Amino acid sequence: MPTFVLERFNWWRVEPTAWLRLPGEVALAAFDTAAAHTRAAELEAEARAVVGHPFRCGGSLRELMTLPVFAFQDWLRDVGIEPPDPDPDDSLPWLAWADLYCGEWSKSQLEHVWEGTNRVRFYRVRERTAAPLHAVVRVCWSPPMNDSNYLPETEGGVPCALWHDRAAAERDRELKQRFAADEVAGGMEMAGESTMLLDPRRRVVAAEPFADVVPPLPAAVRAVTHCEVVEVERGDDATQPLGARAFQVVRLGWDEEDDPNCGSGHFYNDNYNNDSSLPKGGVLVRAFLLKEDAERLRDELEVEYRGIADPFRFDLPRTPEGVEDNDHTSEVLTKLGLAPPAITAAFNSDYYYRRRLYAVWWDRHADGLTPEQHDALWGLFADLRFHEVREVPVGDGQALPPRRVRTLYYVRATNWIPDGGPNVNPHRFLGAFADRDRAEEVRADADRRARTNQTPMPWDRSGSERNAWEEFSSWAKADMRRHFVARGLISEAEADSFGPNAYWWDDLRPRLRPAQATAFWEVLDRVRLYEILPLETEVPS
Amino acid sequence: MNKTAPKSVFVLVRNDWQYHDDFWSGDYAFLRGYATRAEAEAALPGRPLDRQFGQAEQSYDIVEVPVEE
Repeated sequence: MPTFVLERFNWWRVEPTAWLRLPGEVALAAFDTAAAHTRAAELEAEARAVVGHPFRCGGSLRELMTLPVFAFQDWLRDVGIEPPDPDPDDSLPWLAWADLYCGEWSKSQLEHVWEGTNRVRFYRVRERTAAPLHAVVRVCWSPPMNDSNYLPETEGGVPCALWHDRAAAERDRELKQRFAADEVAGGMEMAGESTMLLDPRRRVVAAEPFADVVPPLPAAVRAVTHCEVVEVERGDDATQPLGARAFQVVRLGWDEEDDPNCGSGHFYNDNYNNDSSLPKGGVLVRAFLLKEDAERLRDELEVEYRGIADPFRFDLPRTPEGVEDNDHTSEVLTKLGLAPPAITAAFNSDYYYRRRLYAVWWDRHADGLTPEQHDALWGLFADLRFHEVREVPVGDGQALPPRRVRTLYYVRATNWIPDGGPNVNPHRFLGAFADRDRAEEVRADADRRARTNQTPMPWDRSGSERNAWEEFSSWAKADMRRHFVARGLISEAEADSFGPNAYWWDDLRPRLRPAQATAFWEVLDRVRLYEILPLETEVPS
Repeated sequence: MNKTAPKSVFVLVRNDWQYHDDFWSGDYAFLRGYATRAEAEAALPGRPLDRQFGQAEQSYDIVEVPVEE
């Protein structure tokens, strides 16, 4: 049975009475019946009531409709609406005109205007003929530059895994949620940000462009969503089973610039500069068996959005080498027969102000561009992209033998041996054991052997004094000194000021009798050279 | 004599290390064991935040460990 998916076009509320359409759609709900159409119509009417008139939904007519300007003017006159007169610079002030006169339009005239502006649609219903897959995505939280609470991506997340089976996806999500929350908590602690909260406001607000929502309060790191399950459909023949890997077309997420020189309606994306070290979020569009099929859809979607979008809302033009160069842009525009915007020297180095000027320039020129001019202008944004293809593992994409979870006991050398960090300090597992007693036997043996050679005080070599005596021993220092004097490890004369360190140990070790070594280690009772880690492990049933 | 291949499990590990004042500090978090490396890779919960200018550096490793049943 087909399913009807109710989707909202990806509108962003840039001001209280201004909206812009970003690429793609957002799936809201799935219906088994055509009741989806009824619900879509209700939501469309509600959104139109909030927006008021369609000229608040874009800067140029290209963003609003497929009709050319002259045809739209005739379209208005057909119902007795006189279109705006040109401004002194020959531009047509559609927004100011509509704001001024829409209150005088009858209901049928307003309907006619909405009908003509056929790109301003808020909801749609799409028929789905195959069962969806279930993707586990990671919502990335990061601290903003001003050290306030952590903020999430505005929409979507990093695709981590794909499942055919919903229950399996939910189990995967639960584990990943736990891992991710622990990871963020650990990172916050390391960065000295443990007291910060995570504020979901911008994600919640971005999801409701036509409603005034009361966002939830910031919450602790383990109380927010880090991983969620979302449905994604196959973009190819769903009867061909996926293997261990699949390819997903991802629509990149955007956030609005907040620089005052830029003004509203300008966006940025952390992925933009192709910095692969950054987390890459996005909204899943379709999944594919073959990479080339995914790339084909990606390219189609790019062309589709470029047909209506204003590129200056996402970046400034660049040279073929990827450099912002206003002279180069002016040269290209002049060659195309277009007058570049006048930018005074004072603002020539202001990235955000130039973006604002160029966006205004685009609004005034976009409707008169020839296809060649339009394509040449987009050619200045070679690096600007809205979609990517990502490879992801398919959790149940291959027949694995059944697994069960059991606790294994892992024996591992602790970080007492030696310090050096993750680059030089291996994990040093001796093995994993089903039987705890056997693990303890291996641990004790390794510990005994290590004590004959290993300094118990490796940290001191850094000279940092970062480890207090209490980390090595539960003994009071005075008791330790008396103990060492009694066993001949130190003399009465040096006892008052004695504190063991790695150099002292290296000097003493070749001369130690076994009983003295035992006495020494007896004091260092908090030094554990090997440990046992009980760890849940998925093993074959 | 039958010779069987040694068995292994694969442990998903998170590195919580930071480099500061000329030395590393921090620890590992050992998360869960898996029967195959591919299963451990599929369990990765995305990628830790790259702080770029901060001290905290986190990453994930998958460590093969011999197992004795």
